[in-house]
Amino acid sequence: MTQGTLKPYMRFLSDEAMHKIHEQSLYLLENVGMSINHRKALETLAQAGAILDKDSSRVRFPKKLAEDCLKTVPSRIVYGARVKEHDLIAEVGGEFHSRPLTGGEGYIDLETREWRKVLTRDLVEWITLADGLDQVDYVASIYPDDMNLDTRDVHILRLMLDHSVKHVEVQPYTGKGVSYMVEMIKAVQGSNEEVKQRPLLSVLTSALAPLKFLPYALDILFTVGPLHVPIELNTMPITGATCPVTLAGAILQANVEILAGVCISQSAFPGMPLMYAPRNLILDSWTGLALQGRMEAAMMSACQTQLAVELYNMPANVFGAVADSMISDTQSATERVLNMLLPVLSGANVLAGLGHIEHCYTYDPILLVLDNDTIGMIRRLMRGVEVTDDTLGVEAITRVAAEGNFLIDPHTLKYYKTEYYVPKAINRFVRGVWESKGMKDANELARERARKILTEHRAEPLDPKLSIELDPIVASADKAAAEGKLSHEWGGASGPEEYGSYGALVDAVAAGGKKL
Amino acid sequence: MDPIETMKKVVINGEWEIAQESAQNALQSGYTAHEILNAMVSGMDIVGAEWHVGNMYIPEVLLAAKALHAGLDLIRPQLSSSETKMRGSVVIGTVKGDQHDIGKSLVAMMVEGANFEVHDLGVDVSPATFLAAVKQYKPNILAMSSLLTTTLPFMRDVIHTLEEVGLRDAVKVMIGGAPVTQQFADSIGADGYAPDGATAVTKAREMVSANQ
Repeated sequence: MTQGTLKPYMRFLSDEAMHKIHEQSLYLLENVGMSINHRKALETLAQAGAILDKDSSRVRFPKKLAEDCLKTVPSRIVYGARVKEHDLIAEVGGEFHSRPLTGGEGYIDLETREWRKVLTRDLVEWITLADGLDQVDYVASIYPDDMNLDTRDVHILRLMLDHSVKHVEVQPYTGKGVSYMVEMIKAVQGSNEEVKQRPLLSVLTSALAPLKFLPYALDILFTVGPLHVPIELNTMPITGATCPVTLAGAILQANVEILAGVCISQSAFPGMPLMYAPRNLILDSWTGLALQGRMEAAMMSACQTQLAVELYNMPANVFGAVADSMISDTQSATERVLNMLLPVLSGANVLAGLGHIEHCYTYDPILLVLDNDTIGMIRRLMRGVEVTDDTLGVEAITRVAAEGNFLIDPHTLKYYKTEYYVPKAINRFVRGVWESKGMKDANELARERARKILTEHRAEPLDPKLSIELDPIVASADKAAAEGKLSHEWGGASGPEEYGSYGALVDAVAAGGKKL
Repeated sequence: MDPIETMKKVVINGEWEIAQESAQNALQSGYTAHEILNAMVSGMDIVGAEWHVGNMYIPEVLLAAKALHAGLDLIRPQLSSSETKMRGSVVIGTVKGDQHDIGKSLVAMMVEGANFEVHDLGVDVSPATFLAAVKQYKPNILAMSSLLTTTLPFMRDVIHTLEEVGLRDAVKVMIGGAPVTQQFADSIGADGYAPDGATAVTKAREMVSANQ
């Protein structure tokens, strides 16, 4: 008889399928390659043995390069927090973690339920809520519309550090703002070494499907790489539009794009932590919208998770709490549960997107509270079923068969508080009582909980000595922006504009003395 | 089947590989280029109506448009210049700093399917490039797309550029993309905003008929 904790595991892809995907990924990397117009990336890749193909204006990755880089990418990532007890370990085979949405710009007012573009006060409310919710493991950036676009990333990080003690992830919208963010983290953590050991900040960057990396996305990588700040490596191919329409083809292409990112990061910064974080979208064949809430998105996330953890020994990060609906309704609930459940059963290390509605666009505080419950339930799922001589409760059954019930049996008292996860925003009453309590649905109960947290919770403040160190960094970003030296514009000097053509860029790389 | 009926069906079914052969066949059977054009356009109108109510999908719409353009290429020499004139012309591009192109390409294809002449400038298009295209093609509509909030200011720049050279009234400006809202469109003085490809087609049609 097997004793111990039995955890569920779901496996979509056979060994043969996984290896086929991997083999075809290596084939595409070597024979089709990626479009990468970024000087440092090209220099790094050329030195590592990649082929800069002037005819196709693409970089091709030999099989050995990919295989070598897959060996150095870590299977364990530390996410440090301002308050150490909130540190997280994302490790293949380990527990999963959750984070709220990043990248969105809309906000649904907690009280009026109206939609607006995010305001700075919404950011404070959101981060406070995320900090106070027990199942939200780290916080992620939210983008106020009432901030200066040039320095927005920097100010967002400042406020996040003020209002949460948890690990902070930022999705930068400027390559240049990232260096200020790195300075801020170094100031708070004290040294490069401390940042490397338990980075307080992680960032997100992304490929552009099909088979491309934009220069600014690589600027982010090269700025944080020296400190080994973890990167959540996204790609967002759209089925039937920017990647094949089939699930297998979409999984394959996303894999190529992420493996290319692995090659760049590990060639430049061996051992740099990365999360395998695809976000395959589905083209709605009627409206042309890129959607995420479908069952197929959940299936792809599960397959991709399996590839990451089984084949590449890399932590996997998926979406998580998705919804294509505009409000917290049945569609939202169904979509997010499916998209959280399937990949977590395949070993996902991060479920992202908590609190979001409207396909990546809008933050809803009520949904953040509801997702907190769902994460709690999923966490309970992944704790498994404990089957031991004690949990089987043979003696308890024997006792109760003789006389009475289980209500205050020692066995019940031993386990009842820990065996079950109890969600907060749910109905637990019979109809009459429910009516007397105001006939509240889950949304209303979640709202009450949000109000309570916002009234009672404040993150432990940042040490004033550290606050003082951050102010001048933020001020220098503001000054640079005022002088026109820090702009939100993309492309950047490392893009092709500086060289006129891919061929000229390759020539510059060669002239730089690096062996090609 | 009657060659003219066949022509209409070829468009409805998106059979672009045989569109030219079918058009040739119709000409040889004695139908005029004008009649063939009408048959294809009416097929396209049916496709549009079916798409509107959800009976046909984007790939089918795009294939139908491809069939129509293939057939049109064959009969064009025999059409008068007023007949070959499309419903209108559009210059479209993704603004400077932004390289996301799928949404823009989808709109371009759908608008082309609605019988507009479309000049797709691609991605990362500067205000100067948009201006040059407006001068060159003299379109009815200038359409701009963006996925990134940080590149939205360039849409305003393009409108200012048009104003500065006195060309603002020569085109209708339509904008779209994930971060774009009606409010933003109003704030920069754009003539229209479309949240998706289908609406872009409707708006484009409205814009050119308003001119006529």
